[in-house]
Amino acid sequence: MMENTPVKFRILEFLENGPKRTDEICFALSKEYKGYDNAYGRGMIKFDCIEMASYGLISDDGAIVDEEGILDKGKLLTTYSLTSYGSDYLDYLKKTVKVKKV
Amino acid sequence: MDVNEIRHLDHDRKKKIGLLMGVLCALYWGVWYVPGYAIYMSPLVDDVYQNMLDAGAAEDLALVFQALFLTFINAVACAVLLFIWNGGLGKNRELVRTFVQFKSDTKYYVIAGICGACAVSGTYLAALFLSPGFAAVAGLLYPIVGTAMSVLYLKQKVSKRAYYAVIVLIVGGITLYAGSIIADPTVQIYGIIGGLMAAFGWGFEGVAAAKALDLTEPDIGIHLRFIFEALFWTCVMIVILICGFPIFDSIGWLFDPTTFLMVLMIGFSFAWCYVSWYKSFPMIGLARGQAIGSLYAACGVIFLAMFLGPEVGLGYTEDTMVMIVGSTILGLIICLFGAYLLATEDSEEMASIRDGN
Repeated sequence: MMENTPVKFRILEFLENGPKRTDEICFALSKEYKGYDNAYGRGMIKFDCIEMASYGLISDDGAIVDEEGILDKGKLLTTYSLTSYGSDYLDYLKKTVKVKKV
Repeated sequence: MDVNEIRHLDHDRKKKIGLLMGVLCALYWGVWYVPGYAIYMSPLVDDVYQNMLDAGAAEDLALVFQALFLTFINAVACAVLLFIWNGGLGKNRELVRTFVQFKSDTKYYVIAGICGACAVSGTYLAALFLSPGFAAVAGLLYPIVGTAMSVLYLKQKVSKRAYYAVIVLIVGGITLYAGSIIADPTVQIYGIIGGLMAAFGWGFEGVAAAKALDLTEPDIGIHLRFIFEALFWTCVMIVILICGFPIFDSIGWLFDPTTFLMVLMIGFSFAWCYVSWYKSFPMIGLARGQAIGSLYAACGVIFLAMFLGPEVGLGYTEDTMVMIVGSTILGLIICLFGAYLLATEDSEEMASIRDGN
């Protein structure tokens, strides 16, 4: 529903159906957004997740160390899920968001 | 290293990035005072005053128009230069995607832009009608508004230590300029209004921006804020022009290389200061971001003293030297202590700045 909306909107929607790990979020969304399907783009999506967790929209439900270098070798692959604040925000977005081809 | 150790390092890194962004904001803001002071002497801004007088404006009104014109130039320069910044970061598409989401997100940046416009013009008014020192002190009160609203409206967590740091940084900033205010205690109503505009404008701008930054990238958010501020000032300039005051008569001076360089410098320093300010909010929260950003007063004093010389930069004469230099040094020491309180806060306190559950 929220394709082509700002990346953070889409991250919220992507987590609606349950917790997801950083690599799942980054690889799936980097394919949706033009110019994001590279290490830099995935890095930006990962940083967006960190900012959203900091703001309390999504929560850190556990992590493993990325031993194989799936996303960033030696760093954490964190599992994120929506918080109740994030769920409320998603409901608000569904009512107000404007889907446009960009 | 196990997961918990890496997680602790990540939280520590996040805190350090947030604090670094706050310090960079203060540095760029402080640097901005140098071209911001010099541009008043350039014909681009200086001629506006005479043009307004020639068109029949009273002296006070001519000064106000001159300040508004400079704010307009500043906002347009920032909005244009941020296209280069976001283009370089590959974020121009994200800018368009965010811009069209007016109802869900972008409306907050309209509020932030107008509050920011109110604050910047307020400092110019306070500086013109009272003194640059009073303008800086009035502006320094904005973390009080920002901290109160971050707790009451944004429901962000603020630790006891962060509260102490906010108070110490504000006291330090006020002490910095206390000497110059005591040396010249004349009070004018326009200056007081300007000071209040600065404190409330920046405080509420931070609140609107922090609300929108929940779901926007800081680089995009700040660009939207400057686009709306530039549009707001363009409307104001057109209204002034329609009222019969030739506000754009000196605009041709923009193509003079020296003036253009000054406009570039105010644009880059102000845009980057705001980029860093907005980037600090998701990392360390609105209250800490605004408090550490208030170190701009200390940076401003240092840069003005470096580039313009201590006498002009600090504004002292032989009679007032001891009082002004003394209060400046004392203020700097208090500011350093406030920054130390924030820098040594436990990073786990800032792992999440809001209880989402």
